[in-house]
Amino acid sequence: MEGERPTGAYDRLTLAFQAASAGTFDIPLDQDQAPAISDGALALFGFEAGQPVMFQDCVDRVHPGDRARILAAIEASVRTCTGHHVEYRVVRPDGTLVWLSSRADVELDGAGRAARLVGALLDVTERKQVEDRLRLNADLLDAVEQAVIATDNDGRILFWSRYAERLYGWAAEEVLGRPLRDLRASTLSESESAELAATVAAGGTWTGEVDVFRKDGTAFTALITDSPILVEGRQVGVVGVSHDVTAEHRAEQKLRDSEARFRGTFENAAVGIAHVAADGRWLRVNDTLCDTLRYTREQLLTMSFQHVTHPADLDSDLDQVTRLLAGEADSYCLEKRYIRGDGQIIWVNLTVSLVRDSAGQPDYFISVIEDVTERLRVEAALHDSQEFTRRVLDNLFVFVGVLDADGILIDANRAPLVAAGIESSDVIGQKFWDCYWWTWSDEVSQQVRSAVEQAQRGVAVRFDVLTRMAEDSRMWIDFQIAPLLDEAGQLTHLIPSAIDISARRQAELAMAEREEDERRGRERAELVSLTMAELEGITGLEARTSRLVDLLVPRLADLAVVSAAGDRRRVVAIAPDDRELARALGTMVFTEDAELAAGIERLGVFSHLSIPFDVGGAARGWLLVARTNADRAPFDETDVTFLTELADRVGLLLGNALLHEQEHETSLRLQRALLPGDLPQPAGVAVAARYEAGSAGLEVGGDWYDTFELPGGLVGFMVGDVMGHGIDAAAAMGRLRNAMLALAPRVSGPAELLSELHHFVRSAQVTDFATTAYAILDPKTGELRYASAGHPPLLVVHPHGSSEFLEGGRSIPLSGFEAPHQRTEGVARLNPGDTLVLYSDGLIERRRRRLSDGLALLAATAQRLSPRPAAAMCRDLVDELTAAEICDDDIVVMCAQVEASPTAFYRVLPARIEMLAGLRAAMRHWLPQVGFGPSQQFTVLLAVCEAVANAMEHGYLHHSEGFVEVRLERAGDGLDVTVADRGRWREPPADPVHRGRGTAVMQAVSVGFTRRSDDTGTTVAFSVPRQAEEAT
Amino acid sequence: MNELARIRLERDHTGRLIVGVEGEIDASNIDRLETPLRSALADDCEVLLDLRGVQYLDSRGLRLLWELTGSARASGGDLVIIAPADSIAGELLTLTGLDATVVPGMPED
Repeated sequence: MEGERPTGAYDRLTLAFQAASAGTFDIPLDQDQAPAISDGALALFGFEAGQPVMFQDCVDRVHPGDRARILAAIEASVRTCTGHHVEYRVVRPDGTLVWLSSRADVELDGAGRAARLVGALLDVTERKQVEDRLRLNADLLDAVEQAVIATDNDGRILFWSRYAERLYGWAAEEVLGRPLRDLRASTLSESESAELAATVAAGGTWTGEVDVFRKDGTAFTALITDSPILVEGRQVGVVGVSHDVTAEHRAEQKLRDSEARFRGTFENAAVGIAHVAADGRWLRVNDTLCDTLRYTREQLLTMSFQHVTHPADLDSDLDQVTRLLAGEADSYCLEKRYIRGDGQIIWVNLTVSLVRDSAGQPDYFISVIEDVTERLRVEAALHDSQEFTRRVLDNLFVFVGVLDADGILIDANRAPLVAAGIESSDVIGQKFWDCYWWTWSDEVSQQVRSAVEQAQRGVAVRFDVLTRMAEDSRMWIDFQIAPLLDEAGQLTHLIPSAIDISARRQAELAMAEREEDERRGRERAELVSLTMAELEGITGLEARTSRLVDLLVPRLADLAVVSAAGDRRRVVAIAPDDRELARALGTMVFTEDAELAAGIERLGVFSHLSIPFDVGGAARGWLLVARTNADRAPFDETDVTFLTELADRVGLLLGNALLHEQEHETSLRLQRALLPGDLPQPAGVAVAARYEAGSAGLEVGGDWYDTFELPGGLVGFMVGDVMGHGIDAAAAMGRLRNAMLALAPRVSGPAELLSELHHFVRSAQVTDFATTAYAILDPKTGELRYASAGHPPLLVVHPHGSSEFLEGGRSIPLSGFEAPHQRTEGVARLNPGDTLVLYSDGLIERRRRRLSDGLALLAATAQRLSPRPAAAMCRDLVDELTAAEICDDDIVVMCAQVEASPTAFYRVLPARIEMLAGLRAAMRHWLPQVGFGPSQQFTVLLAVCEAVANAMEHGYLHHSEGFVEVRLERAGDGLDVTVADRGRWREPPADPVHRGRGTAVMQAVSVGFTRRSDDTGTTVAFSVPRQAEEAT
Repeated sequence: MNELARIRLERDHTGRLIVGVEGEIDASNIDRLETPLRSALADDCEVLLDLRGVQYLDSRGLRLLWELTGSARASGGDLVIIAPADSIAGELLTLTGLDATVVPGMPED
């Protein structure tokens, strides 16, 4: 330690060296004379006592690096006739090295010239070593990211590291030599200080978290470790290592905040701290005290504690203060009342201790004020906190070491040795990375090694690492290593240091866990509500189960199976949607649990839950979730709780769906049984129907339709709709249909039928409400008589883009109420080619659409689709009208297309040549009515079929789903024929023979052949005269 | 063979092949009729094609008759089409003026 370092420990150290060996010398400058060297001095150089020694002999034993310096000092003494003081190394013959301090004076001869060199030698080896060590320590302590402060036994500051300057804001020059307590940095009470001193005096290490103040008055929490400075077993001072633990506390605080969100009260229990002058003025107050007393800091600092103390408690408080000042006690504790700034009286627990200055005079009081009203509420929490603090203290760990330039550990403080349960001999002299702390893991050892190597290259390194402690436990430390360079910039040492951050780590970990728990809880709550909302939004058991597994995968599991089984219905949904997986699981999902577990193990599942749940009644449900992705954790207790709850709730929804579907299935069967199978095909009329169960799929409606032949070649059509859904509606529908079938031949017409039907509905209590429409067609005349009981109007579609609703014959619906006095009926005329459309309201009614818009859309769609055969019209009307919006309700459509009258024949055919034979058969059936007997038909068949085949081939080239219309009308003795398609006329591939023949044949048997082609299609027209019977 | 038309093969006492067609011939079945007819004609050089049982014949059937006659002649064979004027096939042949080209004949009993 250099001279400018303040004394104290240094002086004491120096004293220790006073007993060192010494010697004297008297060297004539005339080198021929022998020098007089005392035995002590000879011994210092390693000569025998009394041995004759020349000056040069001594010089030879001086360390070569120091010789020039000594000779220069001697030469300067001789030249200037002044003394000198030089310290140098001597290497003895036995190899030992000593440091000598040589102090010499010059004696002059009579002429005033330098004649002799007389002086004393002192062995300062030990001092030199200590000095080296101290210099090294000063440098290394400056390099550590901890404040290092050393004091002598009187508390005077001997050392103040660079980091201490940064941490506390005091520069070393400002504080060196001053008593530490002058800085008023610490809030330790007198008793705590005494405890600290006692611990250190006993050779122990004191560690604690202390609220400290910087020079600028700002406060922070420091973790301080104080240890004795020992010289030869004697305590000469105290060294304290401290650092700011606010960061750790922040993490802990965050955790507590988080806990407070659940427990709600902990944060309210803080402690007020104040420094109070001897006369009672507040000197320094913390925020909590301001909050507790409801005064601002500025207000409080102008007041004394007497101001806010309840008058009844003032005397007892002052008595205690007196005792402290008189030295009768170090501190006191008191429960007393304060009057807050807002006038409220509060009870506090007050602890006061007196701080005395270096002269022993009372300096100020430290008061700790705890709001007792809050205390009881938080006692439990506080207890936890104390436990926590104690644990932190128990595990506290500060490490400072010294490595040589090669990375060999040459010194370390005790803490890491004690904590690791090892002796210094276990690690000193070893490569640092091979030391006990790191060798538990190759990776850690390697990490430390590369940190050492980086530090050797002049780079400081810092990282968090797990170190090995006693009994092979682990601890997180904040590790750093910094290079130490000499004045020439050469690496001399490496300084590793570390602090225990396990508390911070734990707090952070606990925080992360809690956040994870919260996140999971939130996610699950969301998943439950999402699941319930989604499942409620869709209908059908199958849809619900498959949506459920899709919601669970991959949110919660990699694999999910839901099965639900009732009496007749069993549904299994599996996610992900994978055929192989479904096959593998198919037989498994209903087996016993143990078998299931073995089975799914083969699927790479490492964790699964199998949760049975009630679906209501005899039905059972089973939820299986499994995890195959190794990144996931196995299912835990919270998963079980959550999924069981989810399954129970889902079970209710699936149960509803199952019940619905079972009823739906029954109704559907009933309805199918009650509706006609193949419709009759009366002469001259093509009838087709289409029934679509509501796409919601849950309810069967009470829609019905039928066609039947009546005496006299008449044809009856009916359509109707019973209010309601399900089995009752289906049954009512069946009764109404049968009643109509029975009534139809026995009544005069549609109006009478509806009247009779109403009586039946009323008397037999068939239903509360039904609508129906009934129509009778006479194919011979085209006359259509119709009546509607509250049913939407029937539609007639003409073949070429027009239509009309049959608005007549309307009366009230069928019901259990009294029948109207009379039902009316309407009459219309249908021509060959016209299509009567009977339908139920499912075809036109949509949510958020007016009925009139639905009717208009139906008419427009039917017109656009026309002309097409009855079956195609039914199919396409349903498809087109349900394309935009799914319909919940049942839909019935029946189309009756008039194909013939006594004077006209009409057909619309799909453009497929297979249809030609049927067309010929129909024509053969009709032609006799217009006088074409079997022997006269061939030319008609030939001409029409040639034209139709041309239309199919040229108009659609066999590719399109188009239709070809054929119309034959009696004209005089013969027939006018038109054949029309909606395609574009295309030239067929060159085939002159064929084409020539086709056209030739047509023209040979017809007259007035014309062909008109435009964008809307091609129409061929010609006439065929009737041939004489006797033609050959 | 579809229901619309059937082909019947038999030989008369001289061993001559008689191919009888009954039913309707139109664009929907002409392709399926053509193959068996051609193979019957290829094996025998003298064939009677009996169309009296034909209920309907259109221009495509006519074209096939035309082609069959042509190929029989080219191969030196003799195809006799039996289609009397009061039959459907005969009516068509007359209408189109082909009755002179294809040779109507009568089966010899």
